[in-house]
Amino acid sequence: MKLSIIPLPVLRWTRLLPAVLLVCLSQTAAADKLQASVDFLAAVGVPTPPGYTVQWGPTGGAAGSTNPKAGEINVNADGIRSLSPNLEGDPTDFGGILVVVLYHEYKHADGSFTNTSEAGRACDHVQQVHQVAAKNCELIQLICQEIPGADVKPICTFYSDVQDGYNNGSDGGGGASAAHAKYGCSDPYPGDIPDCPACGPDGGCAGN
Amino acid sequence: MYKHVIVASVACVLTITALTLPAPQSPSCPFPTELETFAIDVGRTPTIVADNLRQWINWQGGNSYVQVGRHERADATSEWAFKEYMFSTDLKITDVSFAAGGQTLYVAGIRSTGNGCEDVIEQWDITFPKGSLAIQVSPAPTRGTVAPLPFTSTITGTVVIGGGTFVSAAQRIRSPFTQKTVLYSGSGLGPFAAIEADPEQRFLLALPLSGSGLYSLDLTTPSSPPLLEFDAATLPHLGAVRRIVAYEHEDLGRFYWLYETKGDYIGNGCFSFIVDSENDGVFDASLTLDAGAAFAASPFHEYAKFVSLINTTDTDFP
Repeated sequence: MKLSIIPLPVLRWTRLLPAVLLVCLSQTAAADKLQASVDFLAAVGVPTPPGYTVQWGPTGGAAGSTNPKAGEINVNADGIRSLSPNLEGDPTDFGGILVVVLYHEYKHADGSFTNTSEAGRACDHVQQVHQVAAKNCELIQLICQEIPGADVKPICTFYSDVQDGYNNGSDGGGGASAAHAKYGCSDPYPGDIPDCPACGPDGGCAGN
Repeated sequence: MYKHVIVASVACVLTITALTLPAPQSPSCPFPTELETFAIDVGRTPTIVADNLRQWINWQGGNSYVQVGRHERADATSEWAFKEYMFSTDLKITDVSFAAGGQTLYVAGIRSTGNGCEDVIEQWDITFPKGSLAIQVSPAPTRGTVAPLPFTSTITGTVVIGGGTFVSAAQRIRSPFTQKTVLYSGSGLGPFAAIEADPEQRFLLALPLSGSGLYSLDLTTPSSPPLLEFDAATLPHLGAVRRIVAYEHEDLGRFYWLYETKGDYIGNGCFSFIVDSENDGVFDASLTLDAGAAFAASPFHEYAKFVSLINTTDTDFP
């Protein structure tokens, strides 16, 4: 785990907290998993952006959405289920996907990536998806470290899916680098998304 | 005699000239930048959530393919297996909608023709390979008939295509078969910024990028002319709308939510809603609300009362 992302004061007492929260994630009812995921992110130094409420939102569309005017981050349960069908099978995986989706929405809500015009939005997403993937990999590593034998396959599959789309484009016709050039984005291209070392070749934790 | 030779020679020269000249180039149809999308992340649209079948669709504005991802398993206790399918088209896609659990896709886009560009809306009926799971849907009622049927109740169960037993995706031999039907083609009205299918497949809503009006296409009679449902005077917000999604509310009934963005970051604008409380396919009201306090105080913000239109096993939040 890259400890640099976690503030030191938080680190002292959160060394075991993520493990506790992950165990909670696997034991709580689904309705509480959203709160458990929010708590988990807060424990690793990513609190809910000020002024925002995280809640289950309406189905339809993406797995998560952010409405800055109403101050809400909505998670679409059907979207999560279709991305990760193990929702009912292994709640730890469900928590993992929720955490990843929430982190993405947090990065809209905290004011980092708020463009809605297509060119600006594309440039935002080139940066944002790269950042979120890096965080996703750290979270997978944390889960593998704290819960030996955890089934992280759905999150690793999701990671490699995003990686492939970002690096190559879904149709092989150019991904984020092509979009970066097309839209004339001013921030430098952050590079392709690397493999996540925490994910083993079978999709589970590396080394298991 | 000479006359015939000369005519034949001229004809021959003309033919050869025609053969050697470059073929007429199809015009390059400009794609509206407002409808381009780039979101490689969680922007996949779920289309069905059942015990043994989960499906999503994914597409990008300006590209010419639709991805369909399917998680399937033999029964509710078996391990899930994932298979992704890619469907290509000669359209530059502006929007995609679905019905019947995603076995029917509606695809709007721009196509280059020999002498210009046209706006097109197609219906794609997908038959997945024998042994795949599919959704069985009751026949659609006639528009104008009261039909308080949430989509979930029209789904009678999952069936194995071709009968027999479930075959895992890895063992299937054939590719999906897609039958495409043109619902609309022409110029002047589009391009279409957003389309959304009635879950009962009675009609398809189609919104031109210009916001000139919100139209419906009769799905029971292909090639019917578009019918104007709301004009710009009634709903001035239409010009800003980029996405339409069908919902159902325990108290309000069926309604359609009109968003200003296709992405997950909603921005700082407004929402519009058109309501068909009896779900008879005839709209009763429309309104536009600021996406902040006005929306939060409205019944459209009562998410706990929303009924999932794609979940066949559980209509409550988890």
